[in-house]
Amino acid sequence: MKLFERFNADYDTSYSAAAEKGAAANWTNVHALNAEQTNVAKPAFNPQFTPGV
Amino acid sequence: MDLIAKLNKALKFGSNSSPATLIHDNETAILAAATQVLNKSETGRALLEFASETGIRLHVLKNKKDFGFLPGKSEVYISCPAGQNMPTPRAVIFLAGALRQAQQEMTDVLKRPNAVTLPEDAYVRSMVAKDKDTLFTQTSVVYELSMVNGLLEIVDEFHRMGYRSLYEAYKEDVKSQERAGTR
Repeated sequence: MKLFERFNADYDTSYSAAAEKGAAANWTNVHALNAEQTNVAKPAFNPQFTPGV
Repeated sequence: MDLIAKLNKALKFGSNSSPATLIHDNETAILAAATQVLNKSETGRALLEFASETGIRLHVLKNKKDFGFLPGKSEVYISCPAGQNMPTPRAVIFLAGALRQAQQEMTDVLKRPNAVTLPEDAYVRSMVAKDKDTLFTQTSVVYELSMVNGLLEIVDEFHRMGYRSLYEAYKEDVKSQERAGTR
């Protein structure tokens, strides 16, 4: 028998879904924030804006 | 919410908050009680020895997050709302979790994955493995304190935290191992 088989099975059945959800939300937040920072650092090119005119 | 608003919120821009105010007023008493109890379990003692050997500092913060490890500062923290005292059993369970997370990080066993560089599925897998390992450590501490030291309040607290079935599963595993002579 594997060590702590019941513990592992119970975690996988009852608790891993919540942990997965939390981790996925965290990953999404980090990437959303990263994308916002990228947008702030590099403003979109505006072809209608001509410096000095 | 735009980026500046998010940053202002994170940094509490414009408020009187400072890092020092994050420390809970009853930190000394909460930690004294929690470490004294944690030290009575084999797993907890090993965690406290690890903290002592690696210079990890323990803190009680007054915010909402349960517990964690700050690698840059070599600090573990457990949290309790301001103005409230933390029941010792919960402080013990939190402290065990926080110290295990520090151990995961500092021994390179289960290091915190980088959400920026890893694809989502790999990041999630890694975080779930860390969570399972942390809960295993907490369950071990609860089991040892209840079965070996007779501290039954800690089992009640673990149940209140939503981990009744996990504790029962762990207990059954230990029984099976004892029957098989593997523990």
